Amino acid sequence: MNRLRDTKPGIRPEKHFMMSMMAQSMIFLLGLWGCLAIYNSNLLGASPFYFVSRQFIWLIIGMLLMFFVQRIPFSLIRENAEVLALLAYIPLLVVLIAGERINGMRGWFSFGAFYLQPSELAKPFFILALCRFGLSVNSGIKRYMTLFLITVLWILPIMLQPDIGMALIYLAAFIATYWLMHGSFRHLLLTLAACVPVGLVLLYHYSYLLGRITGFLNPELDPLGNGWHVRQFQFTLARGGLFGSKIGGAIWSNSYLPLAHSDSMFASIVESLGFVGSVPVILLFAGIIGIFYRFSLNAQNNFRRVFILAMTIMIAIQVLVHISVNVTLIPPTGLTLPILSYGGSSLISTLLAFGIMLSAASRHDTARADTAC
Amino acid sequence: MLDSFHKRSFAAIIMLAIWCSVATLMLLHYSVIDRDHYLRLGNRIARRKGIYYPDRARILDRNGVPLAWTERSFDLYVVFTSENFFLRERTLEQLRSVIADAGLTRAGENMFLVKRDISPTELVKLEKVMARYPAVKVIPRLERVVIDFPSVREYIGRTTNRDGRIIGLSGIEMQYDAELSGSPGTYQIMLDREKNWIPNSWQLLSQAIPGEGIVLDLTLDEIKKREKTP
Repeated sequence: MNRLRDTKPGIRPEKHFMMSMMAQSMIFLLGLWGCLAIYNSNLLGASPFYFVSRQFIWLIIGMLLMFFVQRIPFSLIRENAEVLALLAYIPLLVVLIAGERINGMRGWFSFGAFYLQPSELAKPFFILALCRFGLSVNSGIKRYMTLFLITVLWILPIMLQPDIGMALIYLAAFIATYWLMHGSFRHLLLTLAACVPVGLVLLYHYSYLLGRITGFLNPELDPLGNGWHVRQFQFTLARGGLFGSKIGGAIWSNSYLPLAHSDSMFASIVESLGFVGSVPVILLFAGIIGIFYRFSLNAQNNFRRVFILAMTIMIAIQVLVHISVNVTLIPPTGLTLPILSYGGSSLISTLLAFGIMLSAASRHDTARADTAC
Repeated sequence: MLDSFHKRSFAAIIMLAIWCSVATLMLLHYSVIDRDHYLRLGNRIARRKGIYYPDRARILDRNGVPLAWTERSFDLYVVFTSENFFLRERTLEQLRSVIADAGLTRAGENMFLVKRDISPTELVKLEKVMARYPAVKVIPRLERVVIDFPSVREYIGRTTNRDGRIIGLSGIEMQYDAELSGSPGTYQIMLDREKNWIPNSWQLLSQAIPGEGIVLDLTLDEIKKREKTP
């Protein structure tokens, strides 16, 4: 792999700088868009500024963090990938004992008025661990087993919370990372086949999951119970129409749509801005993903290449799962829309991931250890 | 490896792009193509039509002195639909912080009267509590006031409040009921999950026409002097 390094001329430094600035501007713009949407979805409540003021503070902290992290040489991050991964993994176990239970899920640490969700913050370090251990073995089956073992170890505590939606995102990230590491298609099919019995056990163990699926397949069957969420998504999108019901007029998001500022954020945006106003959100995400895709293609080595693209795909999948749930393409999963949805952990984790990705994309850092992959 | 990475990354991006396109088509379906159908279904849950009555007109004596008129007052209620004990306690605690002399008199199965005739200042203070605790409800009440004199009360007649509307039962009130009542108007409102009115969703469908005031041939003194009907 080492000999393939720098086989392609990279992006010119000025162009790289421009693309990096453009990506960061788009991320900030999406963050502001999210603040506006959060305010709009709580406008008719008792404290419309409660969530948006907190989110804005998190956005500023996250942007500063991203700015700071991208200046850390990626070689340093790579050298310490095991330690970083371990530091991110331990809270996943601790939260099962010392965590706070919210909405039936023991997944948060509570610090007074602030809550921290370790499974959100662990995302970039999970990809880092996959890249670190996966690229250190050359054999196909050994690589698969290594990555699979790491994934099982990370997913298990998340499933015990239980946060099945988040566990699926981690699983998707594993599949993407292995695929990008020249993984065998057969192995991936085997993984998906192995998911079937696990899924059946989960459906048996957590009855609410089955309810979500039946509610999705036929919301009319239980319109006030399992079908409620799906029905409200449909009505909220319909109220948005082509041009939206203007800012401040999102009555459905304020009254009927559950968790309009987090899990149902996209539908809430559609109600306010309509089809025409919500497509730019998708385009901004597409733009960010496109820029990081370019960065990955032009990265210095395989470690950086795979890390940037696997992380990009992980974020893209979460975006698409959220949007798909909100447009009733798939059953409700309880996932937030990265950057836009309310939640400090989610926002900080995403911006931290972008910071590490920008550091990996940087061409200034050519430390000795980094050239060894 | 590099060439393979390019191919595989391209394949992954294409898959994401296809997924995104399908999601966008679904969005288009609900928000544009089949919008009317889902709007109708949604409105069936949330929209309610209602009738509102204009204030009953005044009855004046020959000199224009008001003998009977309508006053609108507001009563504070709590309607507990949830069995959650802590929520009930928190609701009452919040109410007591705004209304010092809040009581709790049973007025229905789950309905309790907290205070009659709340003042405009209290009404403003209650706005935040009502937004946070849907069990708190302010219900308007119309009251017919007549000059407090036996023969006047008898001559003007009795009224009753039926479904938010004052109806004359005897005397002048009954004789000129149609003129005094006017015509009701209609409105449309959206209700939330707790069946509370959603702010800013009130829509007037037809205007109510207020009743005409009745001017009597007698003066107040003449009515007072009238003998009580056996």
